[in-house]
Amino acid sequence: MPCLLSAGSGLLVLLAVASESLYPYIPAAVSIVTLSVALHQVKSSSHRWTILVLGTASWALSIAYSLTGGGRYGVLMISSSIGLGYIATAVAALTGGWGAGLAAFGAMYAPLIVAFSYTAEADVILSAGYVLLGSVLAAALAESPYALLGSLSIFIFLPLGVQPMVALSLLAYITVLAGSGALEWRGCPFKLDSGLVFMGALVGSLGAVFLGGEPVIYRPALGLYSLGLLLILAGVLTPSSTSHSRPS
Amino acid sequence: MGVQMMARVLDKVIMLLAMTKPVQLALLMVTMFGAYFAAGGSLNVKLLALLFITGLGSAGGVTALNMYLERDIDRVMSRTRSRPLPSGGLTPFEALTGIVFLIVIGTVAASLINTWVLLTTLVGLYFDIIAYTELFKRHTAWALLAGSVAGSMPALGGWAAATGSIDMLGILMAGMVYVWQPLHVSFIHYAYSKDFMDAGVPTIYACLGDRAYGLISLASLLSLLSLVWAFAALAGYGLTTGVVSTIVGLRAIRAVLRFLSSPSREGARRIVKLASPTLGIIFVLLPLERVILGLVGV
Repeated sequence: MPCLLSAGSGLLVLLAVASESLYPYIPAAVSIVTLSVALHQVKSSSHRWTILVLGTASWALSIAYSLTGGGRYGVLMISSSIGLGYIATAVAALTGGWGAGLAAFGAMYAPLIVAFSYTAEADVILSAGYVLLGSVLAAALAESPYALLGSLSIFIFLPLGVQPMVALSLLAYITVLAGSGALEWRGCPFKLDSGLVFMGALVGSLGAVFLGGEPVIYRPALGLYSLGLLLILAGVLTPSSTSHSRPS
Repeated sequence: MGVQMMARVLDKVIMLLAMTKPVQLALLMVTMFGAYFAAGGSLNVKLLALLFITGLGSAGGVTALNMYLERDIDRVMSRTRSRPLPSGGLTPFEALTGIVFLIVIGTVAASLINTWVLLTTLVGLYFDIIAYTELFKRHTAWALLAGSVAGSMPALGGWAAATGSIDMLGILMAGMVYVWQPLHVSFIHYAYSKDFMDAGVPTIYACLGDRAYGLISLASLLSLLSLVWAFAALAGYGLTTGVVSTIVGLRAIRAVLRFLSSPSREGARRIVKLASPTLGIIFVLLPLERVILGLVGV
């Protein structure tokens, strides 16, 4: 199911790029599909309603942002959209396990990326890093829902400092979903240290946020961003016997 | 209650600092500041403070991260069983939080000096953690060739902090640290070879026998002396350093030749005892020569 979902979602997004008039509406379609899976996996009805309400509010805000550019409330709209989306993802992951979290994550990630792609400027290096962070996040997700939650809470801030190029943003989106699907089916090939991955995501995201700031802090921000990527890589390649085991 | 809590936190901080291997860190600091002053670095207090934080945070933090990733091996080996993580003094989460904090402040400090210093800290982390510890150490005895790159980065960073660039002389200074390290690391492998074997870490002696230690030491010492003289020839200073380090190095080489004819644990210990000061002498004398030349206006 996740792989089919990934392929289907990726196709929808690519169609959206091809047809500019459809572009702002496609995230909603992608989100509906993926959020349905999340809701299906969450057994508790009250939590399902929470996720649905939060998710819907998140979509509405991101689509409004896509359509209008946000105007003077742009930052507020997109921050609220991201915040609500991640809370919904957190609830799904905690109550329905990592599979539900994954699906909800996909639901929130799609409109976010598309919304940002719509108004973004190119920045190839950062986007490549974004792809890597997203992929590793997917790997962390396969190990523990707590790693997912921690990483997501940090990723809220990432887009504020990063304006990814359209093509690479889409690639990031597809990579995360396809990677997550593959991990769910075949198991995680790495012996992760989720703590180190989490710390790497934290440091890298901090760097990414500051990269979008004043030129005077560019070098420290670049240093933190690079350090974050190295720590994530170290967390992924950690020797097997010291890695954290997946909670039962 | 508050006092108890403070005492507990202080204990944890002390244990975290112990994970940076203070003696090794001090030696790395000597190479960093030695290279800085040998390159003609000024007595700029702000720059020196940033360099100190860079060394403490990056070199110390990376060493501690290494220990964090090797806590399973440390648990097996008698030499390392009492370290903070295997002994339970620190939990993995506490250690990791402190370690990342150290590395972050080191990286930020390095980035405030210049891009080259930042680059040396990141390269050091890559070679120590990813290349040495994670990719090679548990698979090949030659992992020390990758690990030694990390050890030479503080010297290169110190040089880059003073000159604002990386040039041939800086690379030669870093090279001196690089070629010295196999001698030191392989002695530890030799002296504790059973421990390493129990932990499943390959050592050169397991593959090539006892004489390998002698041959590595000989190669290290000859390379080190060659680099010192190459530096002196290119830089126009370093003659005294070359002479003194050669005298000390030749004594160590004589001990190596004895070891090669009749290997023994005592002989190995004698080599490391005679050879270890060589690097320290170089990184103290070279900057002194540079300062004296500056004072007399040459």
